[in-house]
Amino acid sequence: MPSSVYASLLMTICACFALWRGEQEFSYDKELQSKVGLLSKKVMQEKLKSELVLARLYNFKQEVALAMGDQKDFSNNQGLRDLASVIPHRIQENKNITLASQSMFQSGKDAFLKGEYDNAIAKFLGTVSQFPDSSAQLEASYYLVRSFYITGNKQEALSWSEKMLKLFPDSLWTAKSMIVMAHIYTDQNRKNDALDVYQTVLNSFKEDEIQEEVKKQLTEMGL
Amino acid sequence: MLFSWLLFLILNQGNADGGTQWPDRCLQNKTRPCVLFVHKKSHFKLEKDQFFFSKDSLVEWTGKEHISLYKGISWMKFSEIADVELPFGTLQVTPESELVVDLKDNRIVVSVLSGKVRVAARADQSAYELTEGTEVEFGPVDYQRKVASISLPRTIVLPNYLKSIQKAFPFSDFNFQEHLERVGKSIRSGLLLQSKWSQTIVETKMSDARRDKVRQKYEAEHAQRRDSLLRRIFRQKNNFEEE
Repeated sequence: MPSSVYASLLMTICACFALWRGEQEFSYDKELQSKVGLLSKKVMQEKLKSELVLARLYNFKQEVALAMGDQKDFSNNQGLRDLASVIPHRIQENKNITLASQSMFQSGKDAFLKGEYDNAIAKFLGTVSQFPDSSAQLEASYYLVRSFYITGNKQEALSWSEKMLKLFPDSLWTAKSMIVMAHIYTDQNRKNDALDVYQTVLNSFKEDEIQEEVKKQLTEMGL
Repeated sequence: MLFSWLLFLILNQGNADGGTQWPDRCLQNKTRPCVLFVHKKSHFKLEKDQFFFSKDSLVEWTGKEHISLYKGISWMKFSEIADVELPFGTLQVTPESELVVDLKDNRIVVSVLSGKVRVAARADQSAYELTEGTEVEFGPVDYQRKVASISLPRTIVLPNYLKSIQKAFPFSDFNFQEHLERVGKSIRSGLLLQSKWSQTIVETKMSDARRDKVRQKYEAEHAQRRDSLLRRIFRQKNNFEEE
């Protein structure tokens, strides 16, 4: 047989092999693509469901706000306020609550870290008074307690600490502010009161961070 | 390989156009309730009703001609009477009405481009009727008044409308210029209506002022007459001589 026949036979075999490989690769790609398609569809469906839940929660919050019609002051009921938190406080109207409160709180915290406590107090007071429904309120209240304590205004520090205890009894920030409260009692030689506060914090907050801090303070007191 | 990628692109394009539906393909199967989450701005046609939705819009068809809007910007044209539910209120739409609803954080703007729409704030018994070229703004429930807040109807504010509609309008499918011209006409008729409202308000105020003036004049004269009558009776009773 002439060599050209061998060559053409070889080329045909090669072409068939390439076609077969290509087809295999194509079907593999296709399979992968359909898997990707199915997965992304599933992800989008989950996203839809979570968006729907959020939307219905938003609607429910409106209902809560309506049901709370007779209760004009939410300040003593943090849980209820959170549930009906779509209600903007009158002084918060026309403001982007989250952005404005966070930026005011952050500038207060910056001032606190720089040691400019008077400036920090002004910013924290602004945050809690102008944005009573914002999420920054808790942390701002705690920093107020610390700023007043550092500047020697212990009475104000105690008063803010008590306010936090009344408004946000379950918050970690309140636990931290109670530790400051105990410090003040220790400074005032009211050791028993300080011990009572530490004991309350130990019993009410099981978080490691708080437990360790209280135990450290108790050790420092020689107990 | 190339062919497979082309096929993938074509298939993907087809899915993205419809957004995600729950239950699957509920719009095509006319299952109710049917929730739609839109991936990118899209145009939908359901029977004779038409919708443009912005990216990330969340809409639920709860029944025939009953829609709940949760999120995003929607342009809607209804062929029949329809109810539209919003987080802060409800809309009742007359046939052949065209409207745009923009749901923002704590604020919803409803603009009517044609037809009539009855708007009511959540828990409010009273309602407004919006006509073409007018809009209204809703806010969340005001716990002191026990209702959602609602503004007075006003003429559509064009710059704000343009900002909203550009997020929902499919420029490739429709002629935006034509749309703008129609909106312009709607706003003109809205302005005419508002100028009539203003005219009526001014006329009412003027007629009130005129009536007040007449009443004051009458009261002044009447007071004078009453005084002189009383004086006369007093004098007669006390046998005083008339001046």
